[in-house]
Amino acid sequence: MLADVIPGLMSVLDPTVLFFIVVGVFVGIVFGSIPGLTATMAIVMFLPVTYTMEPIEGVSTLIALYVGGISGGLIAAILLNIPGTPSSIATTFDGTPLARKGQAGKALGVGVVFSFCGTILGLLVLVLVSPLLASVAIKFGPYEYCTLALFALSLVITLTGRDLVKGLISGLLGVMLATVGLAPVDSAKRFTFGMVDLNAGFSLLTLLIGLFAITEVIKAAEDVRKPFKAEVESNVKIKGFGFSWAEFVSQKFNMVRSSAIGIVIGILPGIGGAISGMLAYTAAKNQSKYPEKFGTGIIDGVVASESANNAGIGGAMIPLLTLGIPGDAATAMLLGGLMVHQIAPGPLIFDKSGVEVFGIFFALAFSAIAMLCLELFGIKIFIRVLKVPKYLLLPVIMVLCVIGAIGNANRMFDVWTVMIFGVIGYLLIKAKIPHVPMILGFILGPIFELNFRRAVQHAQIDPTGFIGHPIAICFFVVTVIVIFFSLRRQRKEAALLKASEES
Amino acid sequence: MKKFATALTLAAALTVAAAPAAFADDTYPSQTINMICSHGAGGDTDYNARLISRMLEKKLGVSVVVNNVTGANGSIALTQYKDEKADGYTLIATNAMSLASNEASGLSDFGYDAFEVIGIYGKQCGENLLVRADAPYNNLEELIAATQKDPETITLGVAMGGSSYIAGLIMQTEKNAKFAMVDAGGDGAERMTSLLGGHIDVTIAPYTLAKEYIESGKVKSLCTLMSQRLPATPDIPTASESGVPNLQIDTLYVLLAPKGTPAAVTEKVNAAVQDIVNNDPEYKQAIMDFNFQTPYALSIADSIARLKEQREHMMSYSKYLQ
Amino acid sequence: MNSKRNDLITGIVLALFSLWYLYEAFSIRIFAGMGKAVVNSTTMPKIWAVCMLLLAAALIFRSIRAPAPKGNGDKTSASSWIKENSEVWCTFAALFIYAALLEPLGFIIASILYIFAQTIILMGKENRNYVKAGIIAVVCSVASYYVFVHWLAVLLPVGAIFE
Repeated sequence: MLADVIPGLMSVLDPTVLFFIVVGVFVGIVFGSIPGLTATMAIVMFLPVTYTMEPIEGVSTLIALYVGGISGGLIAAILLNIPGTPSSIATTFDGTPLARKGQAGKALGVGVVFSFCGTILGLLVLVLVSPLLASVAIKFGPYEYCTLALFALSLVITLTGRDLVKGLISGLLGVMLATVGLAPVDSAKRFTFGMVDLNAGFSLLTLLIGLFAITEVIKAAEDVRKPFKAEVESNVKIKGFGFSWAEFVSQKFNMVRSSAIGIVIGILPGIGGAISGMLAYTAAKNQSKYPEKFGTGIIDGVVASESANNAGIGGAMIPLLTLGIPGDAATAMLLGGLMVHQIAPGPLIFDKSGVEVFGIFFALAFSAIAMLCLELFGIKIFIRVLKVPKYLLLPVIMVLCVIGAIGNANRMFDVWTVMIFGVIGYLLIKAKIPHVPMILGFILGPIFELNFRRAVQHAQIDPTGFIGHPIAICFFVVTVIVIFFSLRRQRKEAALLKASEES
Repeated sequence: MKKFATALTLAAALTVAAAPAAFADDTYPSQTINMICSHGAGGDTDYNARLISRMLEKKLGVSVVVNNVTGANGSIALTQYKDEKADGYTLIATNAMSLASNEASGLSDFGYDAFEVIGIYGKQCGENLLVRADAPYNNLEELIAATQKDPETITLGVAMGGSSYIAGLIMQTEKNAKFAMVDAGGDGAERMTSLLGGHIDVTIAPYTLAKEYIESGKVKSLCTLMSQRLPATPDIPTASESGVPNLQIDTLYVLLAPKGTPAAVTEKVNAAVQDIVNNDPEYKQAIMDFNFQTPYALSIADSIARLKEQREHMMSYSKYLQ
Repeated sequence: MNSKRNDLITGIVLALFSLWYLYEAFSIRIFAGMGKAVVNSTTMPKIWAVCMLLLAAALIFRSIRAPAPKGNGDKTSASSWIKENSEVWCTFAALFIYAALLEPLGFIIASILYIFAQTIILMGKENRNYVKAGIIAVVCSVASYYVFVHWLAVLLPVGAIFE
C-alpha cells in the first residue's frame, strides 16, 4: 500500500493535472461565491467534461471544484450577508457583523485560513483512520439517525435569539415546507394539489435564494429613502492574513472541535455541510466564555463555521472511498466521476486502485493549497465588492440566482418558488420571525421523519430493538440534557436582552 | 448577430415543421438535438444517456446536448417533455423501470404510449439478492424456506414502491415467502450500507454496487433478478432458475421522443443507435467498464413489445403500489 | 404597526394555516402495499400541524396579555405606510413580472428588463442614471446567457416569441 504513495504523488505532480486543479478551484470559488450557484452545481456542470479526461485529471478536477465551491461560499456570506452555498449559512452569523464593523478583510482572512485548516484536518483523518471510521459509520441505522436528527433539531433553541416561540415557529415552518412532495418511505404525494411540479418538493437552494437573496434586495429597497446611509467601507490595508498570530492561537481549540464536528457530520451520509456549520457554531457558542458576543461580529463564529464545513470534505470522502456511499449530492457526483474512470470505491479500493487513491489524497491537499493562495490573493479584490453600490450589484445577483434556480433541476417552476419564498421571507421579517431555524427545520425534518418511520418499522419487528443501540440512547439522553440547558440559557439571555433594551 | 441567429432558428424551425416526413428523412438532423435525461448526473441512467449522445454526435454529425431534468423518479422530466415540439430535436432518455413503476404507483398518469418510442438501447447489469457472507442460507430456496419457518423476522430492506419492493412482492405472493419488509432507501448504495451495518438481513442492489463486497467476502449474492445470467458473473444463478420463475426485473434504458415525432426520425435515430450499440467497440468497452453492461439494443417494434410486457407486469402489482 | 398587533395577526394567520394544513393532511392517500407501518405518511404532518397550532395559540395568548404599547407611535395609516415603502412593492412586482416574462420573452430580454427596472428602483430619485443601468442590464444578461447556455448546458428559456 505504501508503495503507492510515490506514484500517486507523481501522478498529481503532472503539469496538466496541476493546471486542472488550479482551474477547478478557481471555478469552484466562483460558483461558491455567487449566491444561487453552488459547489454541487459546479460539479454537475463539469462532470460530463471529466468523463473524457484521463482518470487522475478528471478526479482531481472534480475534487478541486468541490474544495473551491465549499470554501467560496464564505465570500458572499461575509460581504453580502447571503450565503453563497448552503454550507456557509453559519458564516453569515458573525461574518456579516464583522464586515459591517469595517473588518471585512479580517473576516475573509479568518474564513480562508480556517477553511484551509479544516480541509487539511479532514484530509489527515481521511488518510489515517478512514477504514476504522467507515466501519463505525455503517453502524448508524434508523435509530441512530432518528435521534441524531432530533438532537440537531434541538439546536433551534440555541439559534433562535430572544423569542423562543418565534424561533420554534420558524423551525416548524421549515419542517412543514419540507413535507411538500413525495413522502419518505412510501412516496405518497403530500400537499401537491395535483401539480406535477410539486411532486419533486422544494429544493434547499430555492429556499435559500428566496430567504436570503431576495430579502437582501428588499432591504436595499427599504433603504433607498433612508437619508443616512452608513457607508462602513473597509479601506483598511490588509497585512498578511488580516489577523494576528495571537488570534490564530486563541482559536486552536475552536478549530479542532469544529473540524471534528465537520468530519463526523461529513462521514454520516445524508446530513450535509449546512448542518455541520450550524452545529459547530452552536457548540462554539455554548462552550465559549463569552457566548453573548456571538452574533455581534467575533472571529470565533467564522472559525467554527468555516473549519467545520471544509473539514466535512475529508469526512465525506471517507464513506465515499471506503464504502462507495455518497453522503450528499456533491459526493454522489464524485462517485459517478470515479466509476467512469474504473476506480471502484469499496473495501478493496486500496488494493485495486491504490495509486489513484493516493492521487486523490494529494489532489485534495493541492486543492486546499490552491484555494488558500487564490483566496488570499483575492481578498483585496473581493473586498471591492463592498464598494460597488448595492443598486448595481443586487439586480445582477438576482439574475444569477434565477439562473441557479433554473439550473438546479432545469425547470422554470423553481423560479416561481424562489419568488414565493422571497415573499414569505419578507413577511417573516415583518413578523420578527428569524430565518435560520426555518432552514434547519427544512433540512432536518425529512431526515427525522424518514428515520423515525424506519425505526418504527424495525421496532414493530423487534420491540426491544432500541436497547441494542447504545449510540442512539446516548444521542437521546444528550438531546434531553441540551434542551434543558439551552432553554435555561435562552431564558437568561432573553431576559438580559430585554433588560438592556428597557434601560 | 443575435437577430440573425434568431432568424436562422426561426427559419429552421419553420422548415422542419412544414416539411413532410419523407423530406425530414433526408435533412434530419440539421441542428442541435436536446436530449433530456430524467435522472441526475452521475447515475447509471445519466451515464448511458451521455455515452449514447456522444456516440450519436459522431454518427449524426450534429451536437447532442444532454440536460438533466430531475425529480420524482424521473416523472418530472417525462411529464414536462411529453408534449414538447415533435420535430425530432427533443429526445428523452430514461429507464423503462421508472416509466412503468411510476404509472403503476400513480406517480404519473401515462405510460410508454404517451411517447414515440425510439428504442431500448441498454440493459442494466441487474439487481442481485444479497445477504451478509455469514448468513446461513446459500440460495433463494433456502432463504424462502427460512422466512416460512420464522415468519416476519428476517428483514428485507427495500425501497417502498421501487423495483426492489416489487421483487419482494413477487416472492411474497408467488412463493409465500414471509419477509419482514422494511424501507432501506431508494438508492442501492443506501441499502448496501444497511445490509453491511446489520440493520437489515437481506436486500436487493445492483451488481455494480455489490461487486467489491462480494469479492472481499463480506456479502454473498444468492441470485440475480435478470432474466438471464450476467456474462460477467456466470456463477450467480438467476431467480427464475432458483424456483421463482416470475421474479425477473430488467432495468432497460430507453430513448423516447414526444408524441407525434415523424416515424422517419425515430427510425433514423433507432438505426443509428442500434449500429452504435452493436458494432462500436469503444461503446462496448465503455459500458462494460462503467457498469458491467453488455450491448443490448432493440428495434422500434421489439422495444414497444418489451415496454408493453413490462408495463403489464408492473400494472398487475399496482394495487400494492398505491 | 406595533409588536402587539403584529403578533396577534401573525398568530391568527399561523393558526389558520395550521388548521388548513391539518385538514389537507387527512386527505393524504395512505400507502396500501405491504410492509408494516403504524406510522404512515399522514402521521408526522398531523403532529407538525398540532405543534404549530399550539405555538400560534401561545403567540395569540401572549399578544393579548401584553400591555398596550406606550406612546402612540403607530398612528401611521396603512395607506401612507404603503406609500413610504413603494420601492418594496415595486421590487416584488419587478421580480414577479420577471418570472412571468422569462418564458414568453426569453431569458435575455426578460433579464435586461428586470436588471434595468430593479437598478432604477434601487437607485433612488436623486442619482438615477438610465444609461448606466441600461448598459449593465444588457452586458450582464447577454454575457450570463452565453456562459451558461453554451458552456454549461443550462436550459435557459429562449423565448416563445422566437419559436
